Amino acid sequence: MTTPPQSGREPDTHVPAEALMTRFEAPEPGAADATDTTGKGKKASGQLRDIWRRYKRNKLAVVGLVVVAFLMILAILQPWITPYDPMEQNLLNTRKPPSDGHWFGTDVLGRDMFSAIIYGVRLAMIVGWSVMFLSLIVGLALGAVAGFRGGALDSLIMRVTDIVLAFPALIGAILVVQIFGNGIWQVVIALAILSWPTAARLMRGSTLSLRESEYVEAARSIGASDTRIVTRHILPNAIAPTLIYSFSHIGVAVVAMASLAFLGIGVPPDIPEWGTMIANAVPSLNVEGESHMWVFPSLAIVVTTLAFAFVADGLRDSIDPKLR
Amino acid sequence: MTSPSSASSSGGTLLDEAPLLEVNNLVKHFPIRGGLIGRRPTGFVQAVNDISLTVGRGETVALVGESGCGKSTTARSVLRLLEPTSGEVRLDGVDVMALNQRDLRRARRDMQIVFQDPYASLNPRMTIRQTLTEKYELFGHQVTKSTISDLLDTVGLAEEYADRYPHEFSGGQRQRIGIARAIALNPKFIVLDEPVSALDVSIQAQIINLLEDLQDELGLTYLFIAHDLSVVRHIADRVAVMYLGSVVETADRDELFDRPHHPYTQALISAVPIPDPRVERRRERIVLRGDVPNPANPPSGCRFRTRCWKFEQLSETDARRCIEEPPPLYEIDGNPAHQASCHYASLRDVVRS
Amino acid sequence: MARTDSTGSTPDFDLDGQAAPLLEIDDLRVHFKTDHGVVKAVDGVSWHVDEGETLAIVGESGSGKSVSAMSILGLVPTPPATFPSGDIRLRGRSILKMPEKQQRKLRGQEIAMIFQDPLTALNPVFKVGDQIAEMIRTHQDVTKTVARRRVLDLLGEVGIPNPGVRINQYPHEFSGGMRQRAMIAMALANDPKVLLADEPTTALDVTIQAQIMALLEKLRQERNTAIVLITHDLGLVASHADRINVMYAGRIVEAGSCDDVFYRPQHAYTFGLLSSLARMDKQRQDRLLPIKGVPPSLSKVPPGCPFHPRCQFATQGCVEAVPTLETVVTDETMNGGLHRAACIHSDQVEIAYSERLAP
Repeated sequence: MTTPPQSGREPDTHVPAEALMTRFEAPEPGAADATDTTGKGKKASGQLRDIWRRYKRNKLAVVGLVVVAFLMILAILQPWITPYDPMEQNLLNTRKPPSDGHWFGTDVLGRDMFSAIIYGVRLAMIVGWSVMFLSLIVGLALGAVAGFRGGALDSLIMRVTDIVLAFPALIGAILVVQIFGNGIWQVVIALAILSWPTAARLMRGSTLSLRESEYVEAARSIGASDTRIVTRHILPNAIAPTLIYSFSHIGVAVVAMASLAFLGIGVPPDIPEWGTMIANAVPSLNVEGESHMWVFPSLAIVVTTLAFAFVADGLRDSIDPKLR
Repeated sequence: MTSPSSASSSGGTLLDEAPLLEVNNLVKHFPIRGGLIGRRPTGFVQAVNDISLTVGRGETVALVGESGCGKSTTARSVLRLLEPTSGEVRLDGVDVMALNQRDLRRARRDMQIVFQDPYASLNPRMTIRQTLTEKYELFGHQVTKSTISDLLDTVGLAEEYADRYPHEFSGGQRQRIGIARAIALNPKFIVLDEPVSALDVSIQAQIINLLEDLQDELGLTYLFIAHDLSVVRHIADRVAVMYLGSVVETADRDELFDRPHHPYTQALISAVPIPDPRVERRRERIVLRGDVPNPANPPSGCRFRTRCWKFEQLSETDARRCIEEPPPLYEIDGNPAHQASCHYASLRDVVRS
Repeated sequence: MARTDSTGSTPDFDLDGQAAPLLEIDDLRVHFKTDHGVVKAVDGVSWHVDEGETLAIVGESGSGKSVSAMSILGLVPTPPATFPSGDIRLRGRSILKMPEKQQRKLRGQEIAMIFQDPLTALNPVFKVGDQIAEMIRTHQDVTKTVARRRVLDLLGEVGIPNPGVRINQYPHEFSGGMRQRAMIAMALANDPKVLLADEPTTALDVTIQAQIMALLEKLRQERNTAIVLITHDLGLVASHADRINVMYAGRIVEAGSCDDVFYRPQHAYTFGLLSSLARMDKQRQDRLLPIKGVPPSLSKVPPGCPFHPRCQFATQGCVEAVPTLETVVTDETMNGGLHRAACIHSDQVEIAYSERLAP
């Protein structure tokens, strides 16, 4: 900041004083790197670094992130990792406890449990992320439109969300799968249909409050169109709560898919899916030496859900400290 | 660009030229919607009630009043950031009310606004360069390497700040950025909506000086919205005092402060403490009763009468006139530039005693 | 108006045999540990206030002016705050050394506070009258009926019309000015000796501000309450304060009687503040005379005099050592009382100011 012209005498130490001023004019705490004047590239990524600095403080979130990263790697490398074809049956070698050949044992059809679990990771990631992206895109778009436009369109969109949310989730999902038939993508669509309304409502709420904000008015005052205002000024500032919700919903989607599969709905029964595996293990529940058949898929579900929940929690604290 | 910088110091309207901004009978009503189902309005808040004002080229007109008096709504209606209910707005001959949305967006180049809260008026996710560049892009202007640095230099900021985010700046610096956004592409007219009231005392003078320098350099015309009368006395050429949606008194700056005639103006000026203990000990404060009435249900006749100190002193017959007859803007002492809407307007010195 | 002659630097005992000051803060330090280092919100501040007196604490945002008052009421959370040094005494008795229960008794009964935002003090889900009655009954052993009658009196005293109706209303049914009055009524519920007023009118319009300040003035006169007025508004200070403490970057930089500070400022910051103001009673001057730069962040206070980077009088000496609050000896000290300033160039400041005052 340059000094406004100053009348009166200037002290002889003016120059050092001026230099000191720039060094000490850092604004309120939170302005992490205000005094760092090195490099523009660094400046631009300042916000990301701030997020990461806050994120690091939450140890569970860091653990969650490591687990999620690990799961993603497993999912991508699954064809090369699994020692057996996860579909391959061996009726001569069923329900065997963990051994050197089969680390997690074998199931009722003699499939390698380890390979099946890893295949399940791939499935969970595909379904979880797909549900997230679908519901996020639909929720953001409809929420932003409802919040920004208001009026009849807003009422219509909100009433639709009311109806969807009023439906018991599991029954809703069963209904959708019944309509579209079994299959992984059908499950994705069913779960996305059930989860976009919450995303839309969150987005609408943020949009409503931002619509009245001064910087949106400022954008209008320099002649910005509605489309520009929504995409450049509202969306980037309103997205955080919705994004965090959608992310935390990945774990929910994984559990929902497993629950459906457990009931024999959605994912075809011949595909190794964690819920299906648990369902197959039900007769073995109290059989000694066969607990591996339900313990491993259950663990996989718990670890996946917790990891995503921890990451979502960390994001909530770090993306927007105000949300806490 | 016309730059009659002399206007800012002469303090009078320029009679030889048509005013830059002309507002006639501006009205803004906000509907009150009651109930959950019916969307039909159950009443109206009369935020701006038939306001007319003119602002000459290079002039600064201050619109003062307390919160809820409609001064901000008036300014936003003039810029059509709020759609007025009725009225006429002409900016440099252009009928602003008649513009369609597309032409209005284009016309915004000439009419700009600086907001009160420098923390809320900058998009927190855009760097200063992005914020400023956006305006040039919107009006189809090429941004060269020096555009932004020149602009920042004009408002007293170094270019090295351009790639930072708003949260890295102090309030005064942010307000400079807000001013930079407003003056980019040389607008003719700028609304200053309480531009210094959110700032620290020691920073206010910096921003006031900057605004005055820019006015002289660029020949800007200001509509200055304020509740701080000390700043108004310094920066304004003319002042209009608002109460409950209407202008109750308007005059040239010194005339208004030295010879206020409306009882509300007098109470308002007398309520402002002056940073001088000896002066303060001499002054008598007019303490008004109660609060501003609900603008959805304003009093009949004179809107100020429910709090008026003079009304209390009137005889019953005289007081009836205040209740029954809304006072028009009367010329004071035959001076067309000084008007007050009070049936019983008279001089009272409230600045010094 | 009560004025004591206790010297600010050694307020532990009194020199002239008078009673100890009503409320006294001695070398208080309040530090906050944050990610960006230690924020020294209050860094060695001493002041005192007596019955029937208005002490103004003047400063800009981040000067630490509110924190010292809040620590009196135990409103500063620890952590993150720490109190490296300091004592707070009421009539010579250290509040900080009292047992917790006794501290609570004092707070609210002997010392009360009103805030800029009344909604921080009023609970939105309870009726205003019940909240004030509750305040009375926590500190006094009275029946509900007695407390209610007292609430009605209080509401009337602070100028709330229709107390009988208002007593049963919720805070949101009050206008801004009325809420402020209700909060003042609550603060007065137990007839406190000291009222800490933290920017009590900043959120209000000037005509309402005049009402509230007139009310506080009346209370001071009728009840002999000591008022600590914390504000950034030099106009309010000029019209209401007996004595003034000017704070900058967590320290008191100048202290003295109202007239001394306004007419013979000895610190360059006070000088700058007074010179930069636009005045409603003066013909327009050509330009305002601002203080350059911005107030420092409390986590990065400049070395030496914290004001030196913005000071037009600054020399090398200002950078080298933190100036201490010294008594200013002037030939005529106005209105009695001590005048102190932490500025090594106070002679120059005084000359420059008298030149500026001269027409």
